[in-house]
Amino acid sequence: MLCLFFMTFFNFAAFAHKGHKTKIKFVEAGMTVAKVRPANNEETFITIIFQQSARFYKIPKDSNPAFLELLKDSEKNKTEVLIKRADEASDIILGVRKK
Amino acid sequence: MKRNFIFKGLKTSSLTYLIAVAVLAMAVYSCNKSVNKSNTALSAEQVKQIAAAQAPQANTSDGTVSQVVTIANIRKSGDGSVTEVMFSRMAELFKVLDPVVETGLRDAFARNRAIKVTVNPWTGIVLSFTMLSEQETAARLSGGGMVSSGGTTINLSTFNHDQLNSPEALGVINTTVPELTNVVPDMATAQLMFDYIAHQCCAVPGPYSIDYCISFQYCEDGCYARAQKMCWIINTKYNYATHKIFSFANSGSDELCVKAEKWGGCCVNWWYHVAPLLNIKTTTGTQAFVFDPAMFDQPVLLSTWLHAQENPACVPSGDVPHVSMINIQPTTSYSPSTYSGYSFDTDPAFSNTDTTMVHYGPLLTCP
Repeated sequence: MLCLFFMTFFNFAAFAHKGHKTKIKFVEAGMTVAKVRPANNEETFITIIFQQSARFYKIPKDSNPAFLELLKDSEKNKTEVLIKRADEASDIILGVRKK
Repeated sequence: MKRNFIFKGLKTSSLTYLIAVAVLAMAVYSCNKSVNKSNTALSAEQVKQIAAAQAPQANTSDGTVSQVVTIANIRKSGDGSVTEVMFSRMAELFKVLDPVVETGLRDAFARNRAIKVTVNPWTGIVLSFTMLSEQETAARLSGGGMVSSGGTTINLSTFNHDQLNSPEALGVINTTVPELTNVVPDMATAQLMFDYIAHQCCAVPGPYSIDYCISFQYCEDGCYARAQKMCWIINTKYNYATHKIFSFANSGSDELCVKAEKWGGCCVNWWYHVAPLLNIKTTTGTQAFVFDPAMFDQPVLLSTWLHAQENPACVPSGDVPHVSMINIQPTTSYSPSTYSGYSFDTDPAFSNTDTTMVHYGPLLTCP
């Protein structure tokens, strides 16, 4: 019974641990916007260029407007913002917040 | 009554057994899933672990490593019995057993000199070292490059394209410090260097001859770190001068459009790209070549390198495959600090370079 108790306890602990990992599966990095390129008519995203990277990044047009504001502020003031993506290989911006 | 008791006992024990099996199965499943999840994102600790695992790579048959480094600190171990030394570009803590070596290391540390050190990464012991000159140390601290020219911006729409491969027209001849050779004597030597560098690719099974493998297999990004590492190898291992060639798509809807033929044939798009530029003697004279193992299997003429970045098969809708301008920079320039491409950041301690290698080392261009 004691064994069962411990097994149940550890199982709950494992569940809690799993939930925690799910929360930090994104990557977030401090980056400075070099340029915000306006979207073409048919495009559903805005192209963002960062000083720290050679590739193009995309933020959906229907993202939180505050994200775009922060990106434009970063471009204007050359300040770093925290950019959230699903993983290191992704070019889709999921979130932006002040550093 | 007795039958009822036995039945009740059997029922309870069966139930207990079933619960135990179910709970055990759930626990195992949760643990496995937890482990898998932890692999999806690199935490700072994981990056450190990868760095520590990749840091010292054996480059001799006896397992020792020789590397140019600066000393970060020298201290006594906790119990005071052993002297420990930390090097700026190695994650491992090394022990010094030879008093003569220790005295020399302390002298180099006090004078802030770079050293070429030989260590055994398996035992963690410093075997020997040689101190570099003040000039070599300065070059090392300024980013590993040793060129002295300022940057040259070239607008390709007004530049004579027949002169694109000419080191004289580009202003990259006779601009380096005396320790480095300006011109690679032949294509065979250039190919030898190229092959050595390409062999440091993270997609090639190790061990590697340098501290971190180079992420050529992930050409979506990271060209700035790859170029930094390649220049360092060419300057310090082969003693040939380098520049960095930056290409930009920073006008209107311009994009650099490249087909990653070496990595599966998918398209990649950049707002800028960079690689080492070298002068190589050919049968038709000295010409400007680019080393870019992420795109090619051999050094290519500058014009070929630029042409490959305007691939019409890789153009996103509404955009233009076009190199807006190029900028030739000293080796110390790391990445552009503005969209205009006229000013550049440096990475003298290779901290950004190595972090990029660790992050991009496991990734693929066309998964």
